Amino acid sequence: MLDLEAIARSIDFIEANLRQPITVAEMADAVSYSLFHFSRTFSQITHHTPYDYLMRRRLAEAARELCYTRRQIIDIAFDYQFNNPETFSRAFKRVYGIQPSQARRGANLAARRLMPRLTLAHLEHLNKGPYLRPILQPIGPLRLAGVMTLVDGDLPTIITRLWETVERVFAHRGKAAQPDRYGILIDAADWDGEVDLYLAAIVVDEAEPIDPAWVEKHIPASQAVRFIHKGPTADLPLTLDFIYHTWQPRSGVQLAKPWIIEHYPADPANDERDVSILAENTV
Amino acid sequence: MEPRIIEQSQLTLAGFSFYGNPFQVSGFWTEENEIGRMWKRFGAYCAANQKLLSAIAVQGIAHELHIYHPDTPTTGEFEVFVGFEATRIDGVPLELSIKLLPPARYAVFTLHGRQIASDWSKMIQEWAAKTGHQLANTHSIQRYDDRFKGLDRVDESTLDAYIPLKA
Repeated sequence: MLDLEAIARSIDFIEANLRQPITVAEMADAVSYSLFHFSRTFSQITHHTPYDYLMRRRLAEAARELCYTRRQIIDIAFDYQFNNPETFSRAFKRVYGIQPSQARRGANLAARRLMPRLTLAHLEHLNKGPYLRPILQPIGPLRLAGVMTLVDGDLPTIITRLWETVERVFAHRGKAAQPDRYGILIDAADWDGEVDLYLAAIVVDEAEPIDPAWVEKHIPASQAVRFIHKGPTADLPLTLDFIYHTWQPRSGVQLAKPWIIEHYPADPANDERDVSILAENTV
Repeated sequence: MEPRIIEQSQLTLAGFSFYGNPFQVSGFWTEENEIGRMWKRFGAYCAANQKLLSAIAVQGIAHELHIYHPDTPTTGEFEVFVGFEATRIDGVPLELSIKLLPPARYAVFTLHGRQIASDWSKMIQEWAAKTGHQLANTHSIQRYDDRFKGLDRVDESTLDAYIPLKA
């Protein structure tokens, strides 16, 4: 716990100095750790090296300014301590796959791809145990039917409300067995603006007629990378941050579809659920 | 934690080297990070070449060096070298790199059990500030012998940390 708090304090220091020429040695000093011990402890707790975290956060804030302000690209680059525009462009392309000028011209760069600052809640979530280790496993084919909504507010609140609605509908379905339940978070990048959709659905048989009020979605036989989310729905964004900003950049795995698939346990009291992504070239 | 102060003659080491941040994959005391992987490579190499190495290696002692470069404070990246003391250079196999450490004065700290996994570098800095010794801050050496029982038995282990002092 002492280390978690110290690393959270070091993140405060980093965040306050994203535009300053800070060093990893200064981060270590800020929490009275030696450089070596700090480097090891920071990596252990955040799953990023201190320098990697600093650079990713600088790039995320620079990208935000590129997308949402009219400031000159070169000014943004210098502000975030890149020595010249070329270094900035290279680092930007490596992380986001596009040039800063393309981001400025409105190329799709979803806010979710910009690494948020890690909070003490993130650190506690990451250090609950080894459950976030990814497992490669097949998923589907699945025929899902349920209710979809626009995510235009707090994701955990929307998920909880939607499932309450869906459970009421399912209660009248007249089948004794509890169906397998899936939630799919869909990044609808082809819509104007940044839009996420959420589908709360159950698995239905091929032959079962679907109520016209429901939407139907098929998950083909695919290779999925599965994580276990432990904790309440309110903590789900912490798991998603880990998948998008820590695990995915390191693994190099690309999403086959911009979906996050939750698979709920049959026992509602179980606070663990599977959270999967579909890996590219497997669909 | 009181050290011994020693004068060490030139040290010739042969082994494997890595430059970067070795905790990219894992910060734990584990074999999953670059330091752990290098130890595994080193162990496997020594086991496979026992006969060859017996002619040039000081037996039963291994060293882990951390060498600080000009970029180290900025990026946290440094060099890690894992190897044995070589009695002569001419017989060192091509697969191994050689590291020559010039004669130096060292403070030797003996670390026991949980001290090994603690922030002992910080304790050493505090010791230097208290006693007026000047740390060279160029590198450090961890010397492993039969008192070190393995990562899974750190609590029962002992190792010596050699910290170079300014002349």
